[in-house]
Amino acid sequence: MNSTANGLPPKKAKPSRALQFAVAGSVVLMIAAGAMFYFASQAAQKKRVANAGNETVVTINAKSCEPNSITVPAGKNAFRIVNASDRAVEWEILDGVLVVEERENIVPGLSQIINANLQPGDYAITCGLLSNPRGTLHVTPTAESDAAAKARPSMVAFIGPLSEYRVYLSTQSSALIRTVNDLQQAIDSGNLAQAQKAYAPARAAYQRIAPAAQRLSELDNAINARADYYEKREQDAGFGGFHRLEFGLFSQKSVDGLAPVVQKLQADIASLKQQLLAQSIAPEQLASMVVRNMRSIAEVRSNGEEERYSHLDVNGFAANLEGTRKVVDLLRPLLTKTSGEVLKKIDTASTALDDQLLMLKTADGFKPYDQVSTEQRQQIADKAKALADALDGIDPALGLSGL
Amino acid sequence: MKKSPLALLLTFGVLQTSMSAFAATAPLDLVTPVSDYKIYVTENVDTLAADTQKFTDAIKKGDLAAAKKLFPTTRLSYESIEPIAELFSDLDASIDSREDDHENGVKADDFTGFHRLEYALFSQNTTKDQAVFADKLLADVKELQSRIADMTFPPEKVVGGAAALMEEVAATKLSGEEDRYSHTDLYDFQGNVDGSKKIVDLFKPQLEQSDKAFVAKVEKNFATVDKILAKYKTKDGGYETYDKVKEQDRKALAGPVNTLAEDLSQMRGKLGLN
Amino acid sequence: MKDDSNNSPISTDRRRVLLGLGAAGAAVAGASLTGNAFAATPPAPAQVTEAPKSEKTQDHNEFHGIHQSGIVNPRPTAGMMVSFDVLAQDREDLERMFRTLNERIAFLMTGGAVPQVDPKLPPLDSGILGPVVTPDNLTITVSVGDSLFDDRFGLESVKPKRLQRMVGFPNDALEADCCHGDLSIQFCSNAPDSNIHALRDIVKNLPDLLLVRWKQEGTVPAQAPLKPGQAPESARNFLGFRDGSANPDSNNQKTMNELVWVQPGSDEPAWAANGSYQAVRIIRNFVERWDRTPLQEQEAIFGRVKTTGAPMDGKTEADVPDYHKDPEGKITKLDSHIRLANPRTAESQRNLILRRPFNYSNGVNKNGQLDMGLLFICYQADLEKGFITVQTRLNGEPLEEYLKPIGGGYFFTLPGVVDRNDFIGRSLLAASAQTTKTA
Repeated sequence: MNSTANGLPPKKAKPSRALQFAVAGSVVLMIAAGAMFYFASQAAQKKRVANAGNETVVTINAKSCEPNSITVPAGKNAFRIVNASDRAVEWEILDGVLVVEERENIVPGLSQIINANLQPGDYAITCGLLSNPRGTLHVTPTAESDAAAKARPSMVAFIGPLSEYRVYLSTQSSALIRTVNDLQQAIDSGNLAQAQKAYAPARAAYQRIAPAAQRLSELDNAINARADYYEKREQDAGFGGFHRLEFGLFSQKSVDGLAPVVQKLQADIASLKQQLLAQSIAPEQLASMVVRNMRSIAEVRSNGEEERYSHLDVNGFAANLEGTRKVVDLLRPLLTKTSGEVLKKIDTASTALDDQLLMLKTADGFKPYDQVSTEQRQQIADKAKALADALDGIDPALGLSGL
Repeated sequence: MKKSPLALLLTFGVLQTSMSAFAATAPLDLVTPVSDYKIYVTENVDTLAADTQKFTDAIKKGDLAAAKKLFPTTRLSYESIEPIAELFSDLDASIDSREDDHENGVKADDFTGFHRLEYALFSQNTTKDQAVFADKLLADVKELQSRIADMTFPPEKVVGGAAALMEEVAATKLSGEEDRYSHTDLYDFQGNVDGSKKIVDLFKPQLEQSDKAFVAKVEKNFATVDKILAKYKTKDGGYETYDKVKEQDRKALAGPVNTLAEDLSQMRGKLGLN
Repeated sequence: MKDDSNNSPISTDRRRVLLGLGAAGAAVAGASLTGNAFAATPPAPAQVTEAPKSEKTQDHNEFHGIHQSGIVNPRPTAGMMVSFDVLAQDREDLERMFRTLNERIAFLMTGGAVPQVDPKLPPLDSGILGPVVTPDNLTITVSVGDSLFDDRFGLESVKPKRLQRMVGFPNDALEADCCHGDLSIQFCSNAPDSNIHALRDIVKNLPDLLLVRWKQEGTVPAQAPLKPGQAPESARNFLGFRDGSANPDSNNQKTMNELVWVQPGSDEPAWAANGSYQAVRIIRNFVERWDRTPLQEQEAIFGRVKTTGAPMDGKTEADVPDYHKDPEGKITKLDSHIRLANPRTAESQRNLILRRPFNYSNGVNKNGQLDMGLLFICYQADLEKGFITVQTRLNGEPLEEYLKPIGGGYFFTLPGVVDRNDFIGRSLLAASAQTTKTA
């Protein structure tokens, strides 16, 4: 693998040009480059629409994917994932341990299109069940990707927001550890009601940092995977993490057998904190990961399958929105300078989603999702989509979108 | 006009100018140390809040001896995070201004904070009527805590903070005028030095890429300062009063302190920050 | 001829050159340099303690005028601001003070031989400048402070409207010992010694009437004379930047009447016409810290290029920055010193001040850091629209990290002495005469 862990192209050997960008260092340069980018990307976009027939088709079978080894040029790519297996699957593009793009809950028998803007390098792709072997994805550089890499805007303006986000991850991870400890204590004391009560805040703490956590593919699977992704579903020995606890507490209504599960979760959460702090996030990924998170509400999780035993879905959506708003607030000073309209769109959409969720607020949390009507679920999905679309404007506005 | 060989080399871009002589620190490499610094500052301000609570409780209870004991140790956390605290000039003034900063000196209405309490505790030897200043100090520290939580730390202020702390030492700690009633300046001195060293430590990997000799020189000067300060440690982990510092030690501190201020003033440039 | 350059006293010819006796003396000096018959041999190398030469010791300024001098004249190398407590007990004493000041100032600014007295008595003059006092471009400017208008002299009702006791700004650390005063006298000349000579003369002549409260001397660095066609350049301050760029044109009568001189018929008391408000600030510079600041940061803090004094979007010191083209401060930062001091809007045109500062260097503080900075002096017709507004705009500027104002005060510069029948302060006394109670 010759790309770096954070998905950026390999650093060039000559430092001086990069330093000159850094020393000039100001948003001035970033905006100028961004404007250049934006117009270039608009032009490239038009070209791409003209080539709309260029999809790569990947078929997911019961035990593998076909083709298993793909090569595409850098830039915007479309992948049509056909689910030829008998259960819902998710499909991910991985850069080392980090998720670059993903699509959850592709229904058996149907296909979904995933759009991914790819930098040159070597990636892995998942193929259905977590136990299935992975495929490879080789992305070749193009003239445009080389030019884009050279014209990258100054990163100095992003040091502040990225640092703040890392601090946020640190404090929220600490909160997550605390709430999972509370959950563990309740389980150990055998108190089902207390354990059920402790589940929601722990889940909310996770959901606040889910956009970042979900970049760590394997660890996130251990913490957050649903029964469907395992061969034997709820009975699978590998099924653990939050949803295994959820299953025990809310479906089987017992703490039996949950002690080792919550202990493993504690260990995984500790690892999660460590890895979140060790992994760097590139500026463009800060926005794109919250886009993905909101899209997954709009396209998948509004169906209530995420918290199918506890029905705490709205609790999770609200926490996701908090985490998304944190990212927006950190990028706000940069967006205000360059793109007030994008910011306005985001704020409007974010308030709309917040209002939508607040309608479902109760004295001690939110309405259980099984009591949320289909129309209300659609409303949530629509508002989440609007927000995702608005958030899509961030990377181009900041000159980060490549092609 | 005949160009000098130097000018010719510069024209052809062969010779590195002093600007491009710094090996580039990729800006995103600074994210980890900048955020680690915010975590450090948050921990310190949380400690400051907890310690200030105890300090002001002692004052309000009328426990003069306890309040005097807690004064220097409470200030330690503030002095280590000075570069961030002073970004909030209104709070810095109400928490840490000295009598000189006010035309009416100790009688000024707006002379509040640590040194106002220091004046009462050590010069007037009383806790009487100090509740209002104690309450204000606690409120200001809590406000500082909340503003720090909400503020994105500008990277150049973080990196520049190492030099700023040494400027603070050079300008106010060598003379013993910071804590003129209690003479507990050595605590503040150590706090400033520790805060500065923390920043250098966090950015050490990036600095060493750029200039290993620089880091070695800076660390040597920090070690010299620490060694001299350590001579004045007391059995309970505190420090002697400033009047006990020998003249030759005061002079011995001036050299490394001023040299650190000079050297650390280059940190931002070496890391490619404005 | 025996070489007398090492041992013998200075020849009379040389003494004439030293005294610079008017044009004749200058011609003698000039002639000897062109090597004509007067000095057959080139001058011998100077002795260790031989007095430095100046051809300007006879430069002098007119004492009489509708305005006092020392305001719109070009600022010479050396300045001194002295603040006094007035010890006069009553109006009679106050008048004696003003009349004596008038006499001394007239003499000092003109020059002349000092009357000799019996050697058994102390001499009348310090003798610093020799038996014949030379004017050396001296201006002596008298201003009155807010505290003079208390209940001592019945001046309350004629106090200039905007005269007030200076109140500290947020970054100030005012020391009572260096602030305020009943009277200020600004001495400016080609050399610190001429200022000191003048001060000592005044102190000696008014022992029962004036007490020195604080004083601050200062200088500005000299430059080579301007080449033909070269634009004038402001002298530099101790931060290494040119200081006085964008000053209003002191040679433009109309501008000075608008900005500096209180006009007859304004809302100020009638006696104050042709006077001005004087703001003095002793501003310490943290020079060691400044010298450790990256150049681009220094320039961003000021808003000017250090070497030339040009604005960031200009080429020369005289260029005017165009802020309309730079609304977000990408070229000249919004919080830079020059932009805060003068944002160049239509409204801020009313807040222009005439700056005439000097650089001071006092000593060393207990931390081993140098105590030097700016003796800031400015003049304006309206203290509130002028200095106070401008400084208020500057509150919180990044430059404050390097500054600490420790002293100064606000004064009203008296109108000029128009002729021999007039004296400094006469119009003030006359205006308040009607309102005083009889003793």
